[in-house]
Amino acid sequence: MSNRLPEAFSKNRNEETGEDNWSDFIVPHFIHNLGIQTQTKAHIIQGGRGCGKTTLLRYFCHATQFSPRRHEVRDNDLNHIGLYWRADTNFLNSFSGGDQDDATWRAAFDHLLACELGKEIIRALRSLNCNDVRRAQFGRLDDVDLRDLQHIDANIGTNLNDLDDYLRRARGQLSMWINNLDCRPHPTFLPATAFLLELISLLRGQLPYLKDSTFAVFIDEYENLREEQQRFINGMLKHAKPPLLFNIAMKRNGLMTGATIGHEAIEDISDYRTIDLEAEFEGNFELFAAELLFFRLLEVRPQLESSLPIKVEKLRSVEIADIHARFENPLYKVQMLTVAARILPRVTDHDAAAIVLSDEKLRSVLTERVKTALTRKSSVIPATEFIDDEHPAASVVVASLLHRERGNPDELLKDFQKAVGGHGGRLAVGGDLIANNLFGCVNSIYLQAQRISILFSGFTALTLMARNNTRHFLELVHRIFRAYEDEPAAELPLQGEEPLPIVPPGVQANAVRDASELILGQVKGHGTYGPQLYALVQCIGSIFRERHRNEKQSEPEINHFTIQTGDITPTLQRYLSEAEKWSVLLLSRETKMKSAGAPNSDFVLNPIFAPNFQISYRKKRSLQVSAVQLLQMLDGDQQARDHLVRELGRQGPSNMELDLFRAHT
Amino acid sequence: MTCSGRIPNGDDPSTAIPFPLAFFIVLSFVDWIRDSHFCRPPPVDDRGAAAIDNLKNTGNQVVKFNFDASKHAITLDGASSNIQGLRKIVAAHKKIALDATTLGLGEVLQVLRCLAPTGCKTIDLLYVEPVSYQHQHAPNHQLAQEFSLTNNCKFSAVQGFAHEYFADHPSSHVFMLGFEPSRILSAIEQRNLEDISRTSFHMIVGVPAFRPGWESNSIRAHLEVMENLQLNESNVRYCQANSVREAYLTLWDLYRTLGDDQGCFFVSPLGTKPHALGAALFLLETKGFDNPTSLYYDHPSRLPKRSENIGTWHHIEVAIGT
Repeated sequence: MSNRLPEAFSKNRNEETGEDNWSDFIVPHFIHNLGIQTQTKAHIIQGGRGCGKTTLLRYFCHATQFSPRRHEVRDNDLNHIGLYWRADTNFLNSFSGGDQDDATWRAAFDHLLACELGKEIIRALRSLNCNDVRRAQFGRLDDVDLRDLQHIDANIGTNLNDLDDYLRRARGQLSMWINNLDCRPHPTFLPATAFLLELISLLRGQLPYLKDSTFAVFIDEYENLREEQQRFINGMLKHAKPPLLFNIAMKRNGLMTGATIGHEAIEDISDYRTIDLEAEFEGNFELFAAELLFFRLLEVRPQLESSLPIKVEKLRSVEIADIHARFENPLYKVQMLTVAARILPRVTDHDAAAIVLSDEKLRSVLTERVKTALTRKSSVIPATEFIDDEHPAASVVVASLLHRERGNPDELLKDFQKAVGGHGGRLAVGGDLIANNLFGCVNSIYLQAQRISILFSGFTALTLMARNNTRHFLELVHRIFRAYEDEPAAELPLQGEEPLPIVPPGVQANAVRDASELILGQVKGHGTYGPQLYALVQCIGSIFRERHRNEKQSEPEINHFTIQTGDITPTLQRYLSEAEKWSVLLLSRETKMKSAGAPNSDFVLNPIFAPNFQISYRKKRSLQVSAVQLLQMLDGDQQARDHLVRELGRQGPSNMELDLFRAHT
Repeated sequence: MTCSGRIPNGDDPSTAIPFPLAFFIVLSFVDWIRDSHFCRPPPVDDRGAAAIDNLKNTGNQVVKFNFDASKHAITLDGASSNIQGLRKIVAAHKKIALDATTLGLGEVLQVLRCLAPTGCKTIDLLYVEPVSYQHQHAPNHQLAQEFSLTNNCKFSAVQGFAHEYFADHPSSHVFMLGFEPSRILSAIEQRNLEDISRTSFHMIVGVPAFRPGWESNSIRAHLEVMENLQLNESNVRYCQANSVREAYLTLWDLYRTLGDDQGCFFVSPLGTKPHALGAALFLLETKGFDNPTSLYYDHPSRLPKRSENIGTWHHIEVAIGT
């Protein structure tokens, strides 16, 4: 791996991010709450794309748990042996039709599972016995006698190597059959559960160190399986018990059916436990992200070790005391966030207001905004009366207040002068008016000036945009350090008292905008309805941007919506389900109730798209749309979408929630 | 296998060609099949209608054929059938012609699969170019155009041309690029290809395009994808957009060049139909080779009115097994 900073945060930074992540894995605070290594029934691990499901699964599987980089494997570490399987769903989609009946395809799928998981068990044993020390501690693989399996198929052989060869051949024969269905008979199909249980039983009987072992299968990207394959797996989840358990990982709404191939459906709690990975991170993601930032930085800048408040081995430790020392220690958290904010400093909305006044172009936009409002209201007060360099926040906010219908220039001037004179009032710093509206007012000036807003900077802002999504956080940081290295003199030797790489907020804001655009572009490829989801984000994002651009800012920071009228048709429901599945929209229950008393759902545009549209990444105000409008955003033609942007992007109270701001005007 | 392309004689390339003696014509509109109540369904676009009309008047049997990739189900003239049924029809005729304008790649592959066992030596392919495609200007990019030509794309292997992908094995992925980057993005997403360092990528761009300047629609739309995959000019091949033969030879050239240490050779024809036909012929010919080849394809539904007017007509004759 190169020692360039961006490479540490790149997706394909090295080839080690495969099976074995023993050295890479930062233990999250909830690791012991998951109960995975002590499980007695199935787990369903769900979360959005990039939230770390695969990383977690890989961590619990044999390649990591028995990694050669792990110094000590104790006997009880063998109680739970994880087997990983991620299918080639493109290939599995061909398990249908072709003049074969459903039972044959079910048996073929069962056979494929038997082969894949059988091989995984053998690989697990080899991972465990990966070096001389381990072979001395465990070993005896050559003594394993598998003759008892020959009643299933006489060609299985007698030992683990024979079985491995047999399973490889069987997989090849399966592929050969699928490509020549009309001229080859199907191979002998193995029944997965029976075959695996028998294999495990033999191993537990012959290898004493496995006598208490449970083999736990982790099926990744379950949502991509065919429905009948999901049903088959569901049955395995429902009926599994030690020493062979099944778990699945999937995106939200990935469970097409709760049915099994039998008569019973799987049910939460009684049959499986659901782990929502993003919910697990809630409240601690900022700290986790800081640890990840420093951990990766140290990979390429080991000389920073003394400047960063982490000990790498503590981040990898699963000891409860070490986890508590990280996540239940306020001082540690403060230290971490302070250093993270030093590397990625933010510009507060108050500082940004000051920048607006000090920047020629931004100031001219502000001045013009005040002048326009005064002209509309036939006021002769000079615009300069509403701008005070010592009171940038009040200056920026009052410019928007002047645009309100009820914004009387004479009264506002009195309020402004009161604030400037240090006599408080509603425009005083610290008041609700400034607190609630400054972000939106500053941002609208940047939008009007066609500048990238400086508000999209700072470590905390990045974690809010990433919203519990590790991949998005890493992509943001990757782009930031790439831009940082492109800055003149950024790669000069670090010197002086500050050895940390400090990325200026302006550099961050530009890079974050680029990263957001890149991630938005990828939405087109998000499943069957990717183009529709992309159209939705473009349309609703543009509507929000128009709202953010508005001079009045009477409804600042609108970045989510509710469906107020119309029926949610099956088509719209399918789109919304896909939008949630791919984390394009985040669903939350609205706190308010509809008039009928039914709770409504709030759809939040994923804040990772906020920088692309230069809209607020903080969940603030909501827009009401109709089901018909939403459907048009998804699969209407461009003309219809453009019309919606004009219609809904216009400022107007008719489809707005209660205006917190209006009460003050 | 050889294939040759012809365009109609005369000055006006948009004139329908007199089709050679065709005794059997296989036609399909994938969109027809979605609603079996249609007796005379509307064509997807102008050129599709023209191609159908042309063939109807020259063949002595016309079969409407559909292949549903999600179920691997075959429908002949609206009735459920199977590969044997298709093979029986093919075997009963001396000459086969496919309207490749309206047929999907899945259908073409199924017909090609049937040819060799029946001893059929040649096949005729008809393809009609459009004059324009539906498009709109892309947000944020004044020069870029966005095309919405297909939907319901889902990558799904086709029996007979399916090879399993293993992330921990080396492989080559060849994408024949069209105007819709969503399709390659979906291909990458499904296999997490961006995260994999064991895959070598090659892009085939249609140059010269159907019309001067259209190549930029393919290239510009995929620049970001290529950057993310860290590709450079050595990963890009150019191949005439309307040439089946060139597409077929380009794939062969890549296949030979890469050799057998690159693992399975996956082909994703996401661009022009002539490129898809070249890919189909290549896959048919390399089926069963030691160094495996495989289709990696998303079986799109073509949107109604996706293209406008009728451009150049192509008649391609392919000799099988010579």
